[in-house]
Amino acid sequence: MNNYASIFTIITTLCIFPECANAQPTEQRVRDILLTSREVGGASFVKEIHSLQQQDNISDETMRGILNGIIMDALNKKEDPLLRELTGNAIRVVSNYGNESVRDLLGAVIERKNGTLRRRAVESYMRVTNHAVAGVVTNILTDTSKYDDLDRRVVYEELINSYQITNKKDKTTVISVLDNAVDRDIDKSNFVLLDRFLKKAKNGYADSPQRTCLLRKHTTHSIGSVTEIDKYVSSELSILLKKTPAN
Amino acid sequence: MASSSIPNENIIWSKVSGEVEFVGGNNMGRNVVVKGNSTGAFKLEVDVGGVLNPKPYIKGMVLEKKMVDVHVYIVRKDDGTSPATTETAFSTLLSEANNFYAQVAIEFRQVGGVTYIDKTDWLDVETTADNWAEYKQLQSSHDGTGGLEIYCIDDLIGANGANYSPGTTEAGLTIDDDANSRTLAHELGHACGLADIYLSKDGTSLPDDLVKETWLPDDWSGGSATGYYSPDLKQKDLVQRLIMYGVGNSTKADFALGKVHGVDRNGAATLIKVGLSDMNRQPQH
Repeated sequence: MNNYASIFTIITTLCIFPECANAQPTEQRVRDILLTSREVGGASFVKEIHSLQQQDNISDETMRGILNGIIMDALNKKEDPLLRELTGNAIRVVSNYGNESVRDLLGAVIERKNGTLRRRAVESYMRVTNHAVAGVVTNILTDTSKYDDLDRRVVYEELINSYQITNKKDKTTVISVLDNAVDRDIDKSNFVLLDRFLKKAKNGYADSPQRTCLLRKHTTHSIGSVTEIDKYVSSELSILLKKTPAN
Repeated sequence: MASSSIPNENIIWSKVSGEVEFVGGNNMGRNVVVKGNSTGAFKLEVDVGGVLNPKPYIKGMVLEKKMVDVHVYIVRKDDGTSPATTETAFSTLLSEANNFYAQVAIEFRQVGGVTYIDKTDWLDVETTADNWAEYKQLQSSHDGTGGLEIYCIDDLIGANGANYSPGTTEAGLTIDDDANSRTLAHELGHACGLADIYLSKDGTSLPDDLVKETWLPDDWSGGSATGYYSPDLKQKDLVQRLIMYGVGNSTKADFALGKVHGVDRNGAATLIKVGLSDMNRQPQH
């Protein structure tokens, strides 16, 4: 009998279930969308929020207010997984409703939260501010005691993505910021991300002494085993040294 | 009459059908235990001091326990640091999810140790892009393990868990750092062939009505109106108690015996596969 799930305990006490609200207010529907499980290939929560807005004729101002409210609420609460999921998705979608109040709120999240919430906030903050590298974004790139390598990586990724669609003047700014970063960032993974970008985007970088020096700096193996990024660094350095005449 | 005033000896259970028996021959009282003698459906009814007519009944299944192998992959940074979760934390999560699956006699069993995937780009994975390309790349990284593949990442943007089981290399299940045991149980439910159930989707909403037999035919216990469920129990409350409820909450815990009426992922109000009768209890990715 042991291989049967055969024991049933039957309890006759009737359970009392909580009463449900009669109609779902808009805010509750927004919260539900932000917490809804997703089907692979199905509509994203960003699209669903947009559809809800069109269906119910909700103004941008109202939607912004709801999303800001969710984010603000999280600033004052102890985090748990559900709260993080709800808030993280609100942070993502609020970038579509950006204005000064959104920017300031995202700045507060960046200051007061860490981990995934902060990273989502950095991403949205940059979208709201048209990828300007100033203020809190500069702090993220320079204050390594407060912000970690993954925070910086979000800034890099956003700038790299913006590079594809930005004008020539802004492209020059992006290259300048990332060129400074590649010299400074001690994280090997971030170095590889930046190196791959600059190799294509910045004239002269690929074969430069600056790059040789950086590749040499990042050839050490951090945990003893050789990882994919270690292989990338070694391979790129080897190619570069073959091109460079020996002294 | 208050239910508490009925003495235990006036509450008498009896078997209507199936190969089950009352443990120790004890079929009286608010709590009784039955054991199955062979697999298959059974039905019990209960006489509650002659007060309830018709008598309430409960249907169930005696099941052979299934063990399902799971292979676990944890994403770390490129340099092998900062794992999305720890082996211990995952083990706890799986154990808690297995508590839900005791209802349907399934135990998910981790095979071997954790395999680490060192790729910073996969710590945070997008679900907002239409093609889910990055998600599919992650889940294509390991294939054909003979069980289920579970990938643990830091942030699945737009969800905290997802399952893909089309029988291709992309099949697999991903959870992020915000996933709890209910999330994992929900995604494992998809791997077993169950579907999401919602209160509202794409403009279709469940009416604010009480439960009724046609909305949970296999899980009905007799009686009129709401039957022997709570007299104020609404279908939308019941749906939110199901593991396959498609919105994150901190209370869902149940598998139904059969289909339950709700709104499906395409916005249709219908009976949805959220229960044992529609489960593949030996799934593979």
